[in-house]
Amino acid sequence: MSRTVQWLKTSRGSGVILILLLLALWQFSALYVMDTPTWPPVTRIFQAWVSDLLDGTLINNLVATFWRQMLGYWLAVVLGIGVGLAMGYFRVAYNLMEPLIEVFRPIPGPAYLPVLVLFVGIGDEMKVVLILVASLFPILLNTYSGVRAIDPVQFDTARTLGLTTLQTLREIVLPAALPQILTGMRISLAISLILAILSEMIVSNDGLGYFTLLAERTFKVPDMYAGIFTLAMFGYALNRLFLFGEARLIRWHQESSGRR
Amino acid sequence: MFRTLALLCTLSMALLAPWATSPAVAQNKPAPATVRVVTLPITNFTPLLVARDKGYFAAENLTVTWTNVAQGAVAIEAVFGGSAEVGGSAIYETMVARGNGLDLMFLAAGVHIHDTPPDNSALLVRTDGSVGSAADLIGRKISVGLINSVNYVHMVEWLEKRGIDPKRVDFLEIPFPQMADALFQKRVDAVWAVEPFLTFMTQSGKAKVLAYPYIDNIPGMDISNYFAKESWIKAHPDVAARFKRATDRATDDLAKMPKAERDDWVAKYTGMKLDVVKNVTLPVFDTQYNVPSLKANLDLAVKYKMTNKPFDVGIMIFKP
Repeated sequence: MSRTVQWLKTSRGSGVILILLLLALWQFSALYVMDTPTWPPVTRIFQAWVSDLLDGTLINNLVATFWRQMLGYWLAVVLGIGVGLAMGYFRVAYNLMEPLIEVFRPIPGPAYLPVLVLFVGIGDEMKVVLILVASLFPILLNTYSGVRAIDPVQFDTARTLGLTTLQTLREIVLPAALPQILTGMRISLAISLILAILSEMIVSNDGLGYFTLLAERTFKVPDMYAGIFTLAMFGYALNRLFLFGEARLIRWHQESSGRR
Repeated sequence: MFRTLALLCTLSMALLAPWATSPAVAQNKPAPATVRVVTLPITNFTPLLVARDKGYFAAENLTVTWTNVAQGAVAIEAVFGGSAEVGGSAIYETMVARGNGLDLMFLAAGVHIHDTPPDNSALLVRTDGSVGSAADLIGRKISVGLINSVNYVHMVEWLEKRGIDPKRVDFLEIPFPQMADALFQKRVDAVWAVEPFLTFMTQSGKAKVLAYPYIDNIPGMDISNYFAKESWIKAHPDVAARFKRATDRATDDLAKMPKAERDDWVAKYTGMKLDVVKNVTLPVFDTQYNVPSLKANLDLAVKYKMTNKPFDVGIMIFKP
């Protein structure tokens, strides 16, 4: 096997090089091909990004987005896991909740916005509720699926050993369903960021979504792209952090399934 | 006992004296009130910043805060839902909302368009294109922003007045910041651009003005204002009057101040660079409603079925 192929298989550097090549193509096209102020060179975007970073604008707006996203997301995690566990373990809970969930699940998050503005308002509460609602279903459904996929023998074993319901949920159900739960959480992490940005674009005085839209509206195009770039970096960092945590939590599962 | 009583009376008089001797001072300052405003972050609502920074709100003992929204419809929802007392939006949308059953009133006037060109919005076509008149738009693609918005209704009216069936023109929804690219890349044949994009596009040399539809339809028409729920105004007429007084002072200031100073305020409120603001055409700040234009716009809303039935637009205007 050639050294290049070996390197491509083992190193993440190829992905970085691809990104750099695309940026170089962007720079070239902005300088020599496209004649429009809405496609600035990468260097000008980078200058705007550094300037916005140093004067605190990007940091302040990023912090505003971050805490809204995290609050909505973690509320969705608690609610989603709770309801998902209940539905997966108790037939009564499933029969009660399933029709309601199937009605609301297909509704895209942004569709709730007008209703939330009317009933919850235009402040941070509205944004957090929107993030919660949109992030809830992947976590809930994956939790439910994870519980239903548990080998019934494990439940028989729990009964044989005389475990209470709470002990069964804690010692058997939750660990066994955790890989699926984390899958749902990872999907919802991206959704929560999208909805945080969207809600800030519709009604807000701060946040990355507000900053990016304001830059677009006031024709500060390099700043607009700087906002988009910050968003991309932030999303990437969140995802890497999540994967790091997931690897620690379900190392046993990744090793047994050959992912490690 | 008598001496104790005399002492108590003296003490009471001493404690009550400040209120007894200066009733005028006590009555001058109105009760403090908070007014939450939800509005679009556009030039039209610059008076809010002027009123705050020049102390006009403080003089009325009002604490006024504002939140930005992307669309006027969201402002109407927010006011109607109770998360803000006052909204800033297009006159047309507020009237349509009223016509469809929402109890909204015009609280204070804002801006109107110009009577004669140039205006702060215009229908643009490519300089090197083949569209040179209204008739050339037949079979073409144009974008005026949102369908069923005030721009859309006025564009349809503008076409009909020139004998063109609007159904023969293909309307596309494109956000204002993206109109330049859409026009120059020939994805559309005409766009109704607003400032600052209007100036950028014409200064590039690639776009020219075909028409000013607002001026052609209703010159000098009111375009945006501050509104509130009628029930809130009736419950808080004093606060409403104070808010109107403060914003009217600010609007009047903006109308009369030198261009350089006005540009500076607009730049601060909107976040636009001052160099950009200097070159754009701003709307006209005015504290008085152009009532015939309100009626004309309501007639258009009824004609194009945006609202069910006509009503006396005068009932919407708050008179303290």
